[in-house]
Amino acid sequence: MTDLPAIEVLNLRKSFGENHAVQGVSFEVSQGEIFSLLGPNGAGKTTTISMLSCLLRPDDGDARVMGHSIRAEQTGVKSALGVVPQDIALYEDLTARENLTFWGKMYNLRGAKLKARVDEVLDIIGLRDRANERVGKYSGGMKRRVNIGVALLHKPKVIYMDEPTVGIDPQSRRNILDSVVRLKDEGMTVLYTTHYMEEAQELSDHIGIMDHGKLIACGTNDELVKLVGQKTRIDLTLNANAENVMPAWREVEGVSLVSAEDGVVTVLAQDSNLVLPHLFETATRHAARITSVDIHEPNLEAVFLHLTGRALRD
Amino acid sequence: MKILDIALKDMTRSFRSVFAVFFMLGVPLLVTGMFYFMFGNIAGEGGFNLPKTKVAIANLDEGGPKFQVNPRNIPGGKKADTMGELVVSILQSDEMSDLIEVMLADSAAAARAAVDNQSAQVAIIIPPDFSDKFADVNEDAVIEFYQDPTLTIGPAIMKSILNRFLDGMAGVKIAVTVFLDEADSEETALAGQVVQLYLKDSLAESDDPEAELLEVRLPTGTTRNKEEESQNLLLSIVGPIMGGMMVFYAFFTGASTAQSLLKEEEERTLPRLFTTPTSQAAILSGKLLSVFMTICVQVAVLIVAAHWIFGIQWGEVSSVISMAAGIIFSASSFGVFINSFLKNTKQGGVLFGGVLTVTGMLGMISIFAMDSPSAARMGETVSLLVPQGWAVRGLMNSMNGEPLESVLINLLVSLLWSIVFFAVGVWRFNRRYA
Amino acid sequence: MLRILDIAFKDLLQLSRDFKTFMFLLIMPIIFTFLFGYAFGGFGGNDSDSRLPVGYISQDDNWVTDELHDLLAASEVIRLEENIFLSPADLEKLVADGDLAAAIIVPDGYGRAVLKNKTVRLIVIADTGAQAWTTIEAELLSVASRVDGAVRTASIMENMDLEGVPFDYAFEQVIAAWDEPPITIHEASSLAIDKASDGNSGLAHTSPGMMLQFAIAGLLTAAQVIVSERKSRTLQRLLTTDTRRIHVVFGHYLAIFLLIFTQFAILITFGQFVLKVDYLRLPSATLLVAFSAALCISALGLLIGILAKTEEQAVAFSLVPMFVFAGLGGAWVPLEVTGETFQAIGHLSPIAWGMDGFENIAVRGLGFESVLVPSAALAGYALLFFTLAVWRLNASE
Repeated sequence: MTDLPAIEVLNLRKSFGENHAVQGVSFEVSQGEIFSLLGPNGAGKTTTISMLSCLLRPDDGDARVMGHSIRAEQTGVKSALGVVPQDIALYEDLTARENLTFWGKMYNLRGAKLKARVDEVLDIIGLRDRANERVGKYSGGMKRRVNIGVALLHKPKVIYMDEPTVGIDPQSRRNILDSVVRLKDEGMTVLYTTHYMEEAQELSDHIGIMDHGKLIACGTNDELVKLVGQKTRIDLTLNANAENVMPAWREVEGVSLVSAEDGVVTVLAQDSNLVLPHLFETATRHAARITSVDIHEPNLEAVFLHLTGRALRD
Repeated sequence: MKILDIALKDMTRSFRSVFAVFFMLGVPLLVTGMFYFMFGNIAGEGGFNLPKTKVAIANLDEGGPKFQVNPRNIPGGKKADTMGELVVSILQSDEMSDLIEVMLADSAAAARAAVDNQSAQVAIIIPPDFSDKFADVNEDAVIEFYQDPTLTIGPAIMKSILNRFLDGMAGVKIAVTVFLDEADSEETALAGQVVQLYLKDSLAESDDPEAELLEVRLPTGTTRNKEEESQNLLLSIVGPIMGGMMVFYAFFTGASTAQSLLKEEEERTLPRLFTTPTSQAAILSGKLLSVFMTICVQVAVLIVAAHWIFGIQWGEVSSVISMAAGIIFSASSFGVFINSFLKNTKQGGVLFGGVLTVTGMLGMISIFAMDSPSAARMGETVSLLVPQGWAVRGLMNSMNGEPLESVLINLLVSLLWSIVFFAVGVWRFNRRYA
Repeated sequence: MLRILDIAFKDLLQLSRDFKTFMFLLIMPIIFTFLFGYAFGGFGGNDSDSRLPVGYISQDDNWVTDELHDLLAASEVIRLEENIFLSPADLEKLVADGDLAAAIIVPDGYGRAVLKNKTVRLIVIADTGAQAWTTIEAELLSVASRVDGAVRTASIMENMDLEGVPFDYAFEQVIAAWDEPPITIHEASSLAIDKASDGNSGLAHTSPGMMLQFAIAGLLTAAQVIVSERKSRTLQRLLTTDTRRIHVVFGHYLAIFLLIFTQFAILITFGQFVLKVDYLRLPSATLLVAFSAALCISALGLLIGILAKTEEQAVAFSLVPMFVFAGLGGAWVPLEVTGETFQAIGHLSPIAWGMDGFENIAVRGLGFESVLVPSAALAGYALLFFTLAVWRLNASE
């Protein structure tokens, strides 16, 4: 692989009236890696992907996909790109084979080469034996597989997957995640958008966190987690006297932050194992009883909370 | 090549829908078949064998002293003591039995009631003083003709029969009246002789006054074969209806097929198409080509099927091709045009149904009211405000064997409509997906 | 009951929110009744001549022929088209092309032959298979007979040597006497038609047919609400509440009924005051027919909404019955020409019953009892369509 970035995003901006959907987003994706764009609904992920797919024209900025500018070289971009949209985008009254054949033609495949590739993709997605049934008759999971298969037909260098696991059952979700990893193993670059932290953590080489149109953080999982100082979050509930206990907990060694919301006291600490006994003891001294304990190791949820003050799922 | 791929893909989807195929092909043939059956049923030997007109006659004539009816002067030699009986016997004669079915009523009210309750179409009420008034040179005799106002043909035939007979009788009375007006008092006794001479010399005695008075020729090229005549008559009604249905449903197919752009937008396959290295122009062109080709298939199938099933003669080959081209181009372009104004398919359900129904009906007015001069005028004016009107006009010109030039003029106008519709439609779609 | 009203109100709200659709439902039938009424000759011929165009060439130069010409020119049935530049062959072509209903050629020597009581015939070129021929033939025979009769009478009087009565004078007197024939037909019809101003009787035939036809066309919008409800899965959601299925059906039915009935009310008002069709001669009877017809058509709309899977199908399912029922029922072509069998078949169409009902009042001038059978038939159809709709809904959801 060359040093050429697979995707290079340079200060992309897009507004819809007063709604600034994407505000100066820049990042880079190396060839052969999985890059996740993580963020809640409305963060600007799909708008960013749409611009990178040449579906939307950016108001400002540019991006390059395998060296092709999305502004000036759209054909080059589209030839290098495979897109798996969030919604199933297939012709339900055509068979899987007919769908793949048609889309293959749209990606400039023809003749025997197209036929061979369609067979190959049907094998990859495991639907060879049902290829001649109409897609409308497929289950949701099967449709999603064909949806992915279409993006693979022309062996793109880069593949976008826009929230491919939304609304599907755990088994299908697992299959998709596994297939993403396989794509990377085959040398493809994957730009993956999701609002599921676990997916981003599991799959990604690099993660970009978006919120309100901005890229608020970008890096590996470890780098992002370090932003919150690798602190563990401990959520505790008390039966009484929380207002007396909290100041005391702040004095406990290893505790960096104590806050309360909706009856839950959150403690950020370096090491929960060291801190917990002291928390219990302090509570007892103040005639308070801890009724529940929830320990959260440092993760992207915490990062998002740290950076925005909101939970990722809010 | 991609344009063709997209077009063929859309056509495959269209023709896979049983519903769409039925709507495109089945419905026009079904509606026409219905009319073919309606009229084919009664088309017999030479013209329509219309059902007999049911006539209720109330003969209240009490007779008149002065008028003696010579049985020799009554067709069939029937006896009649009064003028009223004469009228009744004429209407009940064998010559009339093919056209009318007479029922006798006891009173005027009963005769009118028969019409009101639809057991008769016409009531003829001969007043009590009919013979008296006929015999009196200073009086006019009147017969009441009471008809069902919703009917036109039966009563018109009955009126025509009655008028002809009464004209004959009136001729006699006029002859006598004029004679008496001009004769001296001593000559008035010759009035009876005048009647006899009049009846002897006039056509009242003729078995076939039509043949005596008129020499009827058919225009050159018109068949004399009665069976062919009735078939021509049938086709002259059914042909335009089939043509009208073809135009109407071709425009529906155009709009429905063009709606695939909106459908694909909603199915999200259109945005996906835009992410492929296929130009927007190619995508749009492919979709337009599919509309065009689908209508081509529809029109071709309907022309052939109608000719084969109903024997409809569409005209000379060159005219038929021109006419068909006019329909195809205008239907496909109009479909694109309408759909370019829609935001989504939900709007399309009503908008194109409403717009297409309105414009289609407007274009077909002259077919709905075939024998009406007003409708013919509208066919040349109001109907031409919509593309369907021009398509129907081209169709009728072709079917009527008009010169190719007049069919080509319609084609030219249809093409002009098409260019405008395509231009606007394509511009709007391009702007939408820019 | 309240649920039914709630659902009906919701449907009407949805329909009314689409202003264009709403206007289309109300305005289109009015426009088309007007247009088709005109097309069927409903607005009188005051400013247009609806007589049959008949070409005329005289190759004879005789006063008898002139009299014949004057009688034909004064005809209320045919309109003479004379052009000195046209030859008999030209006239023949015009007849063949349908530009003339017929052509009359008076042969040379016609007048002389008539005066000598010799057999002589007018040459008439016409398509005897056309419907107009019967009318033209009757008129020509009438005129020719009158001329012949006048000649006969004048001859008789001449032979009787009546003093001071030359032949041509007697002839003129006979022809003049035909201006007020001694035997006439007094045409009478229902009071309803007699009340209508001249020339509008045509609309009395077309108005009911068009009204019924376009009420069915209106279903293509009315049925959309039900289709959309199913597509958006809100119908299924509604069925998960404690709203009973039958309430859902009745609610939708009520909405469509109110829409169709309003449409009828507007069209009847329009027909009464603008087209001068006497619907309100017996308001209760007209109301009953309109009510029954609305029940029937609404039930059809309900069935269409439940059967159609997409908005496009709803359009198609509305148009097909519109054409078929209108055609079968005699809205376009009067059933009187089709014979008893087809008239019976035609009454399979609810439009035929609706037309019977409206025409019995507005055209035939009959009493209230004359609408009972048509209304019952329409109600029967309503029940049939409604039952099918309920069955279909139960089967599909």
